[in-house]
Amino acid sequence: MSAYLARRLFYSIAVVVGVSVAVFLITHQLGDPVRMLLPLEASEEQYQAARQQLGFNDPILVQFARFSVDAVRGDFGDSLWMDAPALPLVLERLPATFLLAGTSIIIALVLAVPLGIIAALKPRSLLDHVASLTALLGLSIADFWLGLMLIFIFPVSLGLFYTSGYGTWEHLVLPAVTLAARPLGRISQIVRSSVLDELDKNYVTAARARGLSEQATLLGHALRNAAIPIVTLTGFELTRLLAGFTVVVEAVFGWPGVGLLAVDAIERQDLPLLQADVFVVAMIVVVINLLIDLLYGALDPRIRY
Amino acid sequence: MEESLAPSVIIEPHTVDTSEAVTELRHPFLRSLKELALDLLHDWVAMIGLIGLVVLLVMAVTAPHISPYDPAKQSLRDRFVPPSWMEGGSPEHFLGTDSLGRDLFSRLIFGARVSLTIGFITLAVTATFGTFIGVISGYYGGTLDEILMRWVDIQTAFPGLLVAITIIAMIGPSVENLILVLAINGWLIFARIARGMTLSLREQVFVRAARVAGCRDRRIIIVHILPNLISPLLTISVMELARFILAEAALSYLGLGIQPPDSSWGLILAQGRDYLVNAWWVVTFPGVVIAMTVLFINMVAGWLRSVSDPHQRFKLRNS
Amino acid sequence: MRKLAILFSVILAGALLLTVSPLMAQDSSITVAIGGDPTTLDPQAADDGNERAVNDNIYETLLTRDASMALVPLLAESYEQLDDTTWQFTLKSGISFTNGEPMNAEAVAFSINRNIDPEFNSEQLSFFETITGASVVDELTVSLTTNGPDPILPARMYWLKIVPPVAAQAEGFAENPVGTGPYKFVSWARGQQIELEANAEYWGGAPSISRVVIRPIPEESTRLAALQAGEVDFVRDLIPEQIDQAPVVKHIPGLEFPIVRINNKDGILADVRIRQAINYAVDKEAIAEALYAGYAVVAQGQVLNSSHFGFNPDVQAYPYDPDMARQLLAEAGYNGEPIQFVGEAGRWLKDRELIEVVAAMLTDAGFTVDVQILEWSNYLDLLFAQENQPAMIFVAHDNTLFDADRTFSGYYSCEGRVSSYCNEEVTQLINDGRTETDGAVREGMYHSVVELSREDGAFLFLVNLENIYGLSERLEWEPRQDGKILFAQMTLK
Repeated sequence: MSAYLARRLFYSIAVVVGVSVAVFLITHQLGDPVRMLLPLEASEEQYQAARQQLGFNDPILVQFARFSVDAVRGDFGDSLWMDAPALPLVLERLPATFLLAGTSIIIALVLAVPLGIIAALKPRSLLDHVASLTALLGLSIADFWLGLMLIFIFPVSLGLFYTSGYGTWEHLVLPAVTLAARPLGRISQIVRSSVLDELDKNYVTAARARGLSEQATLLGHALRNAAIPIVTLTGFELTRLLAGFTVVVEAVFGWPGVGLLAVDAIERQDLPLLQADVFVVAMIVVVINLLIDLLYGALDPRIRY
Repeated sequence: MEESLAPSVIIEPHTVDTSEAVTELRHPFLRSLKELALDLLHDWVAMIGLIGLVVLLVMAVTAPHISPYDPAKQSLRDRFVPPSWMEGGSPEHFLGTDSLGRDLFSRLIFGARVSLTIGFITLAVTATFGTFIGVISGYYGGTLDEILMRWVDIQTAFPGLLVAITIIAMIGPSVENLILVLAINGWLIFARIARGMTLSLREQVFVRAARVAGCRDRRIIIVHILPNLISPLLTISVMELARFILAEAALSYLGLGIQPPDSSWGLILAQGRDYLVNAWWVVTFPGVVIAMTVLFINMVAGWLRSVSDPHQRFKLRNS
Repeated sequence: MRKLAILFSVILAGALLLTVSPLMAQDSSITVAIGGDPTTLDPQAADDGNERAVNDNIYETLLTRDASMALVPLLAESYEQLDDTTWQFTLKSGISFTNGEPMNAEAVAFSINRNIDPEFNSEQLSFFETITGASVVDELTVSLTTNGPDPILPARMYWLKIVPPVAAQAEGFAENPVGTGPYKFVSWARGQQIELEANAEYWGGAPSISRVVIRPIPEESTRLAALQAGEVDFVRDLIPEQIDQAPVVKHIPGLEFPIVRINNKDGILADVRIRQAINYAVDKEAIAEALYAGYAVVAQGQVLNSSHFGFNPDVQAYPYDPDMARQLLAEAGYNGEPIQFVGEAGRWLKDRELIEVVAAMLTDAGFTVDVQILEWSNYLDLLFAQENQPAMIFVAHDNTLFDADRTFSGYYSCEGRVSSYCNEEVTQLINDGRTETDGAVREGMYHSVVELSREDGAFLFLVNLENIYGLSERLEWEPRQDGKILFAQMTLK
């Protein structure tokens, strides 16, 4: 196990380094960050001076060396656009992102698992159709549409919760519900199909025949065996939320997460900020996927790495 | 622990005759067409889904003939005409008009072409590639698994928007390039799901037995692993289709996809975003057709799932 | 009985106090929604409307503009031009920054020199490029030199915020603004809110609203909803279609001009008849009245409005005349050769829609238009390209210096950084005007520039947008043409 973890740690470092290098190279293929920084009316002299000042006139290898040396020390430099150290800018927004993404995934899981199981227990019943319909609407709905609808129904018409902002649980409700819709739909669908698959396998029939109660059969065998795709998908959804797929919900609810920051960093080609963001996201991805793989082992002890 | 799991290792799930765990199984998709059609007749849900899909596809293909207006024809004096059944609506515009006075119904008919093309092609590419990588990774394990999955990690962590901007900057915006960009980010979940399940499947008795019996890897994967992946992958496919159709909008809106005067369901939706307050129909109807497409696909997928699984199929036929 | 009465009245008074005091505190406090979080709160670093929305209330400038946009002294007592390149500003006495530093000649000279320092690399540099330096004459007198005659130096001083030298050189100044203005900085939680409180010792008299919370809400519909739900008292940049939902709406002609830049240097559009045809083919009225729901006015053949120095009141917009357009196209021998039309989406109000409308109108008049909506960085590459400039490119311009030179130097001159229009005569007039100190002569030159460029079809002149604000029922405020949001000018009913 510890050998596996050590190996995994090595590969994880490779992932983080790989992402950073890729981001560095790719952004240098793109347009000119200095242009995005200056107002449209800036003069050529000002533009050249800014390029020089920010070190964009150095050869790419020099720039890369400078970046690598600093990055190893945990210093990604100052955001070009916000004039502040890049990593703290990302880190100070992480709690809001974790709170929102975590709450959404919990809402999604708490609702999706029972919904999926109920649907799977009585396939093709009315209940199943209603559950599936809800799930599919959830996953095909545009998040800005759902978010704005909730805003106009709750705070504007009923005076409940807030349209936007951050601070109390009442601020969290609407963005978390909006963000939960898609994972809810997706997870409940995979729960339904996985449990259905397991229920149809003979061993569950065999277990039933041995006199176990239906519930015990279900929980003991089917769900456990169905867990791998469920865990995989849930982990993937969580990763995506933490990696910045919250951006639309952040914009709609004025939520101070990392998603908007990352999109701005990309659009302005704010390399230091982008690097800091990608570094943090890569760490999150690596940790979540490690946890998922360990969970696989716990769910199915035969799995060896 | 081992005790409670014991039943699950006894029988191969997809072997019809359970006494011959290692015998070759005729692939479910190779059954006669007649039987499939019979299944379909028994399954009204799938029928509705299939009919719905066919209608959408016919609509997309025959768009220039059935569309009441030129979808790009603007009329600034007729902005935001409500749907015909609403107050202020006009019988000339069944679903109303958008912010530039274009007929929403005609735009949705034409938008189907772009959205369905992009959705289905991207899905085909990502599902195939992702499943391939996932199965290889999970089946062979070890260093190969480690490398492939860390590649997936790198891509997961890498901002998709940055990939899109870079690629489109190099090769220009077009439908083909849009599919490429969506596919680059879309195969990861297929790989992770396929790999996770393969990890578990390859340790099952029937796979081990097949290996001991001298079956080649390719055969084991095709005959014993893939059939067990069909159901979850179909489920994922349905949801990814919805995601691709919506993601196309985000990219096209930024100028990374299709160009005016062409449009798609997602783009109509995105362009209506600012007008949800005063013209709900512009945002809502494209959302409804996207949801309906997903619904139809899911209905058909449910049937595909059941015909790929002999037990479910048996129950259905006799219910 | 009396005891009971006393007890009762005490309880009543207490209850009143309890209910009244928070209300009173709340009464003079407002919440304001802006479109995004400021990038920085250093008033001299960024060119960022969100930063200005905050710092315009914390910092002050030597000169300001009154409600009619006339330049008047603010921190300056008076100013005069000593010779072609030297200006002298006399400062008001007795003003200090909220951290106690005095607002004197040293602070002003420091502020000016800091803003133009190449090492500091300010995004605002294009406002101050003519300034070569400032020096202290005495405690309250500053002299300022320019690299040539600069008739619009006073207008530039409306954009240069005066900072306290000690605080500005300390660590963390960008997160802790300190000014002389009517509001003091309290706190900034990035992405969440910025809190300001009234500067009780403000030299111009403490403002009526005691506390202002500024919140970034990127989505326009949510800003409106927040106003409807009573969470905020003031929002900027409402969408025209939404205004009937807002409790109170204020609007005023703004400075933003969406235009289509035309490349007259090469290709099909080198023919003036085709450039004119483009202008005849587009229905500006319909765009202003329908697309912008009446919250825009037709631009009068120039990228200026009546508040700009150099605006030519005798020049008018091209009428909408598609037949004339077709006729001109026929004369020019245009045969449907595709014309590239580059645009972007999501940066300016209704940009994508405007591009689609213009393209459709041109198509109707017989043009073949190749619309390319590009992602922002690719778009900027084409906007700034000096070689192979696009035939037509959409851009929005707002001239906040209120002097035509800024618009002309950038867009109308052969040498302009964002220009694809070249007419030697026009360029000569622009260059001469930049250093002409006689106001009347300079204005005459600018009128000629407007006339010539209009005839030349230098741009597809479109509309001039209005600024739209939403207010709660209890807030009183009148919008300003320069778009500044000054909380000190707000009162509660």
